[in-house]
Amino acid sequence: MSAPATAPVDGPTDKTGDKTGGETGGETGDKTAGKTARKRYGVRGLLPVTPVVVFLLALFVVPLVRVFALSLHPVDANGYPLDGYSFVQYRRVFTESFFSEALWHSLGTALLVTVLCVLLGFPAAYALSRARQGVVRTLLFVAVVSPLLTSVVVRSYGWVVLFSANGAVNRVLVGLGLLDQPARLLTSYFVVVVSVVHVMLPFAILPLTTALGGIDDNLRRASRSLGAGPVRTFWKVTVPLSLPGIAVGATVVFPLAMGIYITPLLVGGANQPLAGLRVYSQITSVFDYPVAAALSLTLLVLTLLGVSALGTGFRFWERRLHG
Amino acid sequence: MTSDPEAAGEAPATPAPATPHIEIENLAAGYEGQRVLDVDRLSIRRGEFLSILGPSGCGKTTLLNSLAGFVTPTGGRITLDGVDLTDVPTHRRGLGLVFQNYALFPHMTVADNVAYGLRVRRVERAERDERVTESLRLVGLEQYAGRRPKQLSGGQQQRVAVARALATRPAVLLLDEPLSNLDAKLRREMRVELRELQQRLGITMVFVTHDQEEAMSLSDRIAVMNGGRVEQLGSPTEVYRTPATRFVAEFIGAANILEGAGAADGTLVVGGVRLDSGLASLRDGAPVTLAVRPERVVLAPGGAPDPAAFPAGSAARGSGIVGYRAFTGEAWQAQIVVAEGVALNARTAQEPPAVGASVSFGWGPDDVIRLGDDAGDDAGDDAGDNAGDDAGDDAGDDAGDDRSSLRKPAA
Amino acid sequence: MADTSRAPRSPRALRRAGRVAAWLPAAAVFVFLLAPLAVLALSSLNSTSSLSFPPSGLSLRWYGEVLSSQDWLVSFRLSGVLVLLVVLTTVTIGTLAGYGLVRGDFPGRGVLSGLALAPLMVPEIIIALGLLYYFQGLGLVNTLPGLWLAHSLVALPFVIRTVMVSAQALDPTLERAAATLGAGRARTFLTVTLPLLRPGILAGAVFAAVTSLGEVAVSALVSGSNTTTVPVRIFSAVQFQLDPSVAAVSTLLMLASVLVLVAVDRFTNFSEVL
Repeated sequence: MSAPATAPVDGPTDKTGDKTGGETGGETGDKTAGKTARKRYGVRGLLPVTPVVVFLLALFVVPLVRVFALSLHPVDANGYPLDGYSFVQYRRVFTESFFSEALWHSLGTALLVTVLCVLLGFPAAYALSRARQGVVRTLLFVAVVSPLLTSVVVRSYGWVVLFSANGAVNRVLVGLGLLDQPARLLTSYFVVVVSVVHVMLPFAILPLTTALGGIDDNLRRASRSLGAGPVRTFWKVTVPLSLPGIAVGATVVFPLAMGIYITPLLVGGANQPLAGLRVYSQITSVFDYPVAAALSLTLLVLTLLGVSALGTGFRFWERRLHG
Repeated sequence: MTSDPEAAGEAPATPAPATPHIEIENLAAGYEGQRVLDVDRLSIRRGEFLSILGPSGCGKTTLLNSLAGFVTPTGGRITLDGVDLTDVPTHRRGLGLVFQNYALFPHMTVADNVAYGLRVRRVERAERDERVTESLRLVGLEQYAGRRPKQLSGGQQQRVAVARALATRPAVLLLDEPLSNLDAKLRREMRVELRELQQRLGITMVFVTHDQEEAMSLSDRIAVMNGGRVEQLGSPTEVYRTPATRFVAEFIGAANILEGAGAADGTLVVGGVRLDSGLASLRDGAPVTLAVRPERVVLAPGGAPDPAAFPAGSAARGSGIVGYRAFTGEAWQAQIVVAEGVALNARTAQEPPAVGASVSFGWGPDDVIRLGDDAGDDAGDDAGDNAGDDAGDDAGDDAGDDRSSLRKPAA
Repeated sequence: MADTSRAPRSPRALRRAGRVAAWLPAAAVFVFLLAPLAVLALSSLNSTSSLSFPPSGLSLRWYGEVLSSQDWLVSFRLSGVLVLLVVLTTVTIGTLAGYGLVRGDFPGRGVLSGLALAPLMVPEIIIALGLLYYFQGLGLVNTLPGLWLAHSLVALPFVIRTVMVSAQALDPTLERAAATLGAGRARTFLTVTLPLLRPGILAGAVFAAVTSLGEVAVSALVSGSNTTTVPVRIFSAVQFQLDPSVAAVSTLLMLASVLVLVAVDRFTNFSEVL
């Protein structure tokens, strides 16, 4: 009763806490909890986030900043970084077709892969969301998740085996008489796209499944009761309502596809004209770090632009649907 | 006081009016300049069953959350047995709370739920088991100790929540709309059980509800809240018979409100129609607000009926046309259109005349409740102020009795 | 409609055919998803040294060869140690962060949520280059701590995201209930919050484990001859030596991932938090 009745209580005044706390609830015995329970207004929950913030600053932000600094270094004839700053690396990225074409090729490939993932992911997600609880559903789920749990090298290697000179695909083609002798499939663009789609597909299927599963069954029933057939219901009700899932899937797949390099390297070889591979070869065979930094940062900017364009597109589309 | 097993056990079975138990003074809460709670004074007596009643958004949940320590008031204070609770964190307040959604820990058995507060207090295992069994027996669920909350029905979950809150023997049990998720029949049963429990244990219960029937049937006293303020505090009969404000009259028992100009002979002009108010006199020409309970309204067929048609003690007050009638099982519900925009609701045992027929209505002089007329000038002012009261953001500074929102001080 | 006993058969059959046609693309996609994995597992059983598929004869000789190879065993041990370190690190800090980001009330929460999940959105080659250049300066290339930090960075967003999903589903009144029963912050977190976040934490742990177990994109640059993890060894083996022993290792790696999943699935409904 010591505090005046009129005293406004605003925020963490330190005067009271422990004393009154001891009087009313001291018998509970945990004295430390009383202190930790003091409310920190405005920063509640910041403490548990701190380790991750420190971790990401040290291992994500700082390295990115250093890559940026590296990209501004000029190099001597042997590729060793020199002092000073210049945009010479960026000029190389944009003027040398070795780099600039790889950027455009990466962009086109990532878009193609994104579209394919949504198109292929939709029927799979639809089946998964409509499957009743039970063995079938579990099996379908395992089929979607197990590639996700398997190393990219392992999956790419599986495609290498399938498409190799004496692999299953060539044998079938030769066996059917479509080919006279095994073709060299492995370095083809087609195989690169197939294997990258395989790597990315689960990332599209999972959000699509969530979105499709969240559609109220009664909406479909309502559509049917109003005279729409199953096909019309699918296009007019199911597809528009799954748009958020499509948006999530596309915005996850696209950036991952932009930077992918392990899979194309394994199935397509080091000469695939993709930006990720170009960065990799600059690092591991040419040792030209500054140009690798400039190229990868340009790739990052292109990726972010692409993601925000996708996001804007989907928002626009959704607004047009929902008003 | 919570770990002292005697404290709750020997509490008197009847309320001891002299000892203020919880004192709430000038309590204000809100966010971003919006005041959602503004309680000048509210004392809760030891061992009483107090309901906090009001429509949604009236601030009753904020008041409860302030008591529990979930909401930090922007001003004022709450004391429990003389100890200021303002800076005491929830877990040291020693209050029991029953949540609207029960908030049972889904990952624990019923017994572990009930034992939780005892474990926190490091109660010996033997005593803990005993008290868990005792608490579950209180609510009749001792055979469900090993179940998970999900395996119980809504009513059973509700009982577990009560048992869990009671196991620590709190001096005060707060209940946040605990019955609103139950079906009507179960709700009535739980009401009786709750009241019995409270009387048997003699603990103070603060019961938040929007259901006036619930509040009326359970409480020793009711605090009616509106717009963040306590409009009236009193026993169920007081609140019903002598509502302090128009809001209370309408919210509890859905009274008919007659607003018009009075005359010295006791007549009232409402919507251009002259009615006999039933009161001996009204201040001439002054605005008058009267309330009449629907079940007090007596109907008789015809615009000018025989006075004998009205039972002793009541008389015809005016006439109108039946606009609507419906049989609700135990009574008839009728709406009498008196004038353009003026209608009276009536609940009668007798079948009212058919829709469109003219009818006269009446009531006894004791059935009229005078609201906000000359008898209580500031009552009307205050009621009007509630909505846009931004005058004192810092309630702690101008703690004036003149702004008292308690129309019926519980003296 | 009296004579319809026969007539509806054809529409019904038609409808069934239509339904099958609708499911066919889905079935094809599921086959597509599993094909390379199944092919790999089968060709690891090849009895000859060619990687032909279907296998020309069945044997377990490549498994024997792998398990008697010092190089592979060292890699298996390294990958095992890394999985433990990475899961421990990411689950600890990721759980705290995921919970804090959902429940917290501090300025910049949205920005921090974005930052926490950002490594998922940045092309892997950039993270790889960034860490390589950074670790070169710190002497962490080709070291266990370097790989530990790199894998933790890549795995962390998965843990944070799954924990955030669980934290969003957590009813805040349960924590309030614990407080009214006398439990302080720490006790409430340990006895109520953590047990209820368990599905998200376990799912995050699975993701962290399989991410570390399969990581190549960053490891390929920051590891070295002393720190060749299993997938990195597969990575170089695939480029230079194509024999079924690599398929055998890959199959073992898949089995390890499946084991992690099955073990965790016993404790939680995994699909709930994806």
